[in-house]
Amino acid sequence: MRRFLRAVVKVLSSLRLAFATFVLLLVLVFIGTWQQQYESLFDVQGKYFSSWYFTLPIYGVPLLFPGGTLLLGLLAVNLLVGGIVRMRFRWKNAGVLVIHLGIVFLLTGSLVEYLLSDKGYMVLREGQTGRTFQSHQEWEISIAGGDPAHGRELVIPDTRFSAAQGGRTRRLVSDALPFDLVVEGYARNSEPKPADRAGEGEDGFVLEWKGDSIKAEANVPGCFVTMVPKQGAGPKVRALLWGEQRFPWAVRVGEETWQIDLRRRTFLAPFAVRLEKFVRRLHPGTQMAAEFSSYVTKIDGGTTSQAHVTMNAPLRDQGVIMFQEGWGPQDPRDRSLPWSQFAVVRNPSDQWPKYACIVIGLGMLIHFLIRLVKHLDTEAARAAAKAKEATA
Amino acid sequence: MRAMLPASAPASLASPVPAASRRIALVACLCAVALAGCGGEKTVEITDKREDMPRDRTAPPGATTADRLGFRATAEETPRGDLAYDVPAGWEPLPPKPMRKAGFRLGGDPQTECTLITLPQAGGGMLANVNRWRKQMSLEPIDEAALAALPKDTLLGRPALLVDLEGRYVGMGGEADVSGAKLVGMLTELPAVSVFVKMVGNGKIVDAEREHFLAFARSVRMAAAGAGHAAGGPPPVGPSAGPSSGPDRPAAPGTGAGPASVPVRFTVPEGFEQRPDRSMRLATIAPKGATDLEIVLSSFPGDVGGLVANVNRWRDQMGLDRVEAAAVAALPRRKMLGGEAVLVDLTGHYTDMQGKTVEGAKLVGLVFERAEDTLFVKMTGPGPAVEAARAGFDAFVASLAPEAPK
Repeated sequence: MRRFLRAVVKVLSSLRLAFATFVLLLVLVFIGTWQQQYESLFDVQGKYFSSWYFTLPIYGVPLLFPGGTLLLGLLAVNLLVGGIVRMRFRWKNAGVLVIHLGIVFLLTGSLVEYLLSDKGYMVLREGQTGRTFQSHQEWEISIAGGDPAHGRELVIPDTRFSAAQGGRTRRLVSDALPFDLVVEGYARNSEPKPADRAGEGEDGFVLEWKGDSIKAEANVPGCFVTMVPKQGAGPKVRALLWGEQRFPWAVRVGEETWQIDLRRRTFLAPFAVRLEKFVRRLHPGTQMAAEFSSYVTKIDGGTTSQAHVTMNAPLRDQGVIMFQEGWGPQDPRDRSLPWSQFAVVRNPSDQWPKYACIVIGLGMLIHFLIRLVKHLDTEAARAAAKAKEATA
Repeated sequence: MRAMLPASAPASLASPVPAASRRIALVACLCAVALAGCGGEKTVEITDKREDMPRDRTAPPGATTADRLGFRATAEETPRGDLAYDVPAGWEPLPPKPMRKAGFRLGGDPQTECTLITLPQAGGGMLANVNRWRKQMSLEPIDEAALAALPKDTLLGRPALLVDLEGRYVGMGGEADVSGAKLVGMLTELPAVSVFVKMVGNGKIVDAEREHFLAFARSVRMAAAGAGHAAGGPPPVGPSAGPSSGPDRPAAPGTGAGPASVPVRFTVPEGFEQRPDRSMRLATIAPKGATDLEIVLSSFPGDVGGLVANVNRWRDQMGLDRVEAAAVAALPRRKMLGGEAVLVDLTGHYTDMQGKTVEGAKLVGLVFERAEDTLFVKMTGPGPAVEAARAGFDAFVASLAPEAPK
């Protein structure tokens, strides 16, 4: 058993493994970049960089490749095990040790962001207050019922029902609901249109698949859902849901009306933001913005505070970061009220890279000082030896 | 197993199942399990719950599927100044989008569409808009001279440019990629809006639908007041929720809805000639050989927004500030058709249909309100040319008389 473990450690810490992983990562980056000609950035990230493996047809033959998650995971294990195996825990290596701890902290921050962060955008007109932000590419079904003022919703991300196509269905269930919701006919990018023949589609409308867009954020999904009451209370009711529908589908179950919506993944921020003023300066004679920023009021419970949000100076609070991302209307003929678009990220490890850099810097300083002292000692000893020779 | 059975057990029970059969049965079971996982229904437990979510979207009472999917305007969304049009057979309506009054799928091809779009405020110029379409078709921009050479047509009763392009269609933001695409479009500028009708997509389908497109574009008109939606086509809708959805719908008073309910007759003055009839106009005359001046007689049902709105529409066209009702009431009157018309005499600048701004231009016009309609007589052109043609304008107005009933 010990020999086996020793062999495993030897492989996991080997430089050959590190080299092989780097080479495969290089190939992966090339493949991912090449494929962006045909697929959106969001899809490429999911399919190649966030996966354990993928298949790529080469001259019609599907070849299996390791994905980014597998390779980076392997590299992380290799660095960790190799560091532990090769590290010489002596005081003169203290700086190096601290540097490595900083790097580990940095990489851990990236992992935390990957696993736990929410990203999206928020658009506000001047005078408008918002508290939610939405994903550019991800969608969800939301089910809200009961008291309209209550604000409780059940949400199901699209990753859990997007396979409901080609004859497959997904039955969404919850003890909190008096019905199940069966999803079918999901199309990632679609548009409703009036049915050509009676009985086709639902309520006179069918869903037409438009082909996935090269820009993932341009896809608008649609699907059919059937509300199946529990305990046989009432008939089943079927409806077409579409991502750009004007309002949710309202369905009555017993004495209660439920609002079922297909929308971009929506997240709740811990505070509300009101856009007081959007300011913009254009390059002379053009419609290209030289600079633009937003003056906002942050409302958290009963407390308000003012903030000036720019592209490089975001609003940060309670793990949420809001950057100035865009603005409109950009057509000079459009005289609508100006609006400001913010990129919003909820990232628990937002400040970890900064702390990691501080730790790494500290480690480098420690290592420098240790080497400096050693160098001075060596020089002093050399000078003393020379002096002794001279007098001898 | 055989040893565990009693001696009286049937021989079949005592016989062992052949190993090959067991393997086949095991594989069959595994396949069945695998197949069961591939198709059919899968249950998903809902685990995400959110509290305190703002409820800014709920279905209005009585809303239908068509309302929800945007195929019919709700009463509070129907804007004033809606457009009507005749939809050619076989054109499939598309859901409305921000700034898009109407959209149709052609030839069953998801990449070939015809759209009718309005943008508030005239301006930007025809050249910029034509070059915007050219960019969508991966073509180099053109200059003013090439723009002036483009063929003309009529859209909403106004001169419009007819654009024919062939190239690779990439859309506004690079979201499309159609090789061998064609684009046929018409665009015109009104005082309050610019109107664009565009057919783009598969070259063969565009060619096949060209005549239908021209008929559709020429049929675009102001909807009758209160009608709310087009004859033969899907009803217009307001903008969808959210600030990214585009501008509010502008009103476009006085921009034509059909011929006068009481026809008039007239005499073409000496030195003038009548130009070919266009829809929305009763008559167009101009000095013989003139290309920069015309006198237009038109009529629209009702008050078309009222006197103040119509005067200000002309003021907008000439780049002048709007005026209040008191200033309009103080405008001089002229005798016309047995009654009194309001005389508008403006000097400013306007953008002609080639997209060229004419400085020092003049507009001389008469607004004559009747019980059933409003008549407009308008002369526009460079200042000196308008002054030179003023006598002819006066003679034309003096010759107007109601058409005798037949």
